[in-house]
Amino acid sequence: MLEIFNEFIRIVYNDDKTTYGLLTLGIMAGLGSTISIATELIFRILGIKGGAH
Amino acid sequence: MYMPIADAYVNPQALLIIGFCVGVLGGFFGVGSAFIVTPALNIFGFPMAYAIGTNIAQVFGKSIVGTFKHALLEHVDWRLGIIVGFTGMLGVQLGKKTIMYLEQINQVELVVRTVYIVLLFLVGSFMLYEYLSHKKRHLKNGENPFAEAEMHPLAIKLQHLKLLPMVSLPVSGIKTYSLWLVVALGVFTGFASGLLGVGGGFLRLPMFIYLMGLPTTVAVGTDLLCILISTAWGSYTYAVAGRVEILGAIVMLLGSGVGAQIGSVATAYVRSMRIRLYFAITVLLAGVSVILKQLNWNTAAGLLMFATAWTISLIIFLALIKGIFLAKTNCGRHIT
Repeated sequence: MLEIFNEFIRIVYNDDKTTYGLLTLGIMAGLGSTISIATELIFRILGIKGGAH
Repeated sequence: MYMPIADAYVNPQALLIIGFCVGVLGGFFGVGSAFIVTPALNIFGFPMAYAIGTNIAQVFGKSIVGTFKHALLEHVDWRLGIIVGFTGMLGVQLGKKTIMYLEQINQVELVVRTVYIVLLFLVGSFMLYEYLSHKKRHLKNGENPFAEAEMHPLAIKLQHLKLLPMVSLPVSGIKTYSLWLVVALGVFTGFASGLLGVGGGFLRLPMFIYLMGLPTTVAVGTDLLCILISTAWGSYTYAVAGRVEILGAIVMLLGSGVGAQIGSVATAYVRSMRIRLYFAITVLLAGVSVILKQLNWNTAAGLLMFATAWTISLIIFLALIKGIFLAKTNCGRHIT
């Protein structure tokens, strides 16, 4: 699985640097948003909302 | 784990742990923590050029997590963050040009290290001094020494400076503030970022607090938005230049994203002056680490920074647990 991903990255990187730049932004933004929502949901299930002030 | 772009093998567990620690610090202080991650990545096997680019990419993802949470807590001044974030990009270009000039005259290492050390000690010692005098004042009056401090006199003076056009920042509780001063702040912190090769959060946070008069938590949230804007562009340019290892950034982001959420939510449970105290200590220790590096004690410098990140993030985590526990038992004010 990891080898396939690495191969894909290598192909994109060697093919077009702009696409590699956009792919980096897309993956980071997508993963960041997913972690935000997932952790927020877990925190809410645990009853941790913040906003004490 | 093999990194195909950097052609290097890196320990993924180490990436996850360091990512988690700097994520907690990033969410809590509103900084990118480049001063910790870049040398750590280098120690863990990344060549330096890839360490910088990979770190910027993971900081971009991490700042999405932190900004999202702080926005939910209403700690983000969008207007201020967008102005400072974009004008900061202009400052970064000026900083890069200065670096090129310094390279031509062979002074880059000396100037960058000296400026970095001076700024870290200046910011750290000023904030520590402010905290100690605030604590002394409040203890004398029998008040809680960790309660939010009153606005700094310098911020009050600058808020009354009528240098048109003025901008209103209601989220930060500022009726009017000169747009020119906001732009100058953005350009200056951007310039420092470009010159020192860091995100500039360690400068923006105290400037938001002491020059503009933002509440500490709003300063943290807004700073994260500025980091999000600047690192979005930085990630793209470094990736196009072939200096971002996506796989390494993904692994780090898994740790730093969760850490950023914990750090961000902790700001709602920890009193503002504690945030300032922990920030001052972290910045001062970062200054000591840079001095050690200057003396070529690289391992000691790396270990000091890693130990600092680990200890401060543990303290923040414990403060969060305590805050949640108090909230559950008291059903009222639960700030530690």
